[in-house]
Amino acid sequence: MSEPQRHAACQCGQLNITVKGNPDFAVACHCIACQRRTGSPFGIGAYYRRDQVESIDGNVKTFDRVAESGRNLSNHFCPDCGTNLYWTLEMRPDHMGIALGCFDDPQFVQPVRTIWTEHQHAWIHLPDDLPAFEKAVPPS
Amino acid sequence: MAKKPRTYEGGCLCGDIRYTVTAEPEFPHICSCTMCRRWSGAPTTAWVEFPLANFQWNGPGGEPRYFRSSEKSQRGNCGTCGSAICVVDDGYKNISLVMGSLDRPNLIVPDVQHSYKSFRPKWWHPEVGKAKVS
Repeated sequence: MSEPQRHAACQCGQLNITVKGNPDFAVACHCIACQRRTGSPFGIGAYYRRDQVESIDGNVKTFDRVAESGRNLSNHFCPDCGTNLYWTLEMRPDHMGIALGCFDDPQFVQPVRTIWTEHQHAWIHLPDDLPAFEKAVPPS
Repeated sequence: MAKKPRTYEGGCLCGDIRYTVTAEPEFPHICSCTMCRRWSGAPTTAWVEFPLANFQWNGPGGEPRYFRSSEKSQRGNCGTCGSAICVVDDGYKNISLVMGSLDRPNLIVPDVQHSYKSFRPKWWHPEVGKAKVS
């Protein structure tokens, strides 16, 4: 059976990424930086191995920062519409996180855990059986 | 006697874009539309409006970088770090800020309005309108 191929893009469509296969996992993150970069109450990243990335097309701008965990992280965004399409991180050098909201169909995967719940808003209720961590999880 | 409005401050991840507004927040709500989803990369975006008359950009980067996302609407992001900041509709008296840009987003709780609710991830159920300001 052939592997699924999925496409994600920024809002204006200038920056595109195509991946093959399924993500290793997805995580819902409530950290302040995810709230800031997305403007949303929380972000969700689908984590793919780098060798699953078939193509990245378009102009990209990178913002390097130190995550709340103390580890380095780079946000890669569209210079035209600002969408932070994907990120690379010191914690998981073989992976990249892709913003779940940017996929053509974002319903294809559910988070396996939720992190930085110490910053979670009171009005957000995630499934009770979703493993939740007050801070980041240790690198595995 | 009318209560004096609070001052709300916020900005982007890198600090280039900063704002301050002293006014009552209007129409805090969440939206799961495809446009908000793609722009933010998040499943659902939270919004709050303030009168432009009371609003100031006061960071080193000045105003956000604007992208015309629809005929009568522009979306603003930080040009340095990409953070989502706002929507400005042509001719409208208010600016719409993403709540994630607020320094203290807990001060405002979205109302029951959930635009394009059916587009949200099916596994999550925001309890908007039920929570208290913390």
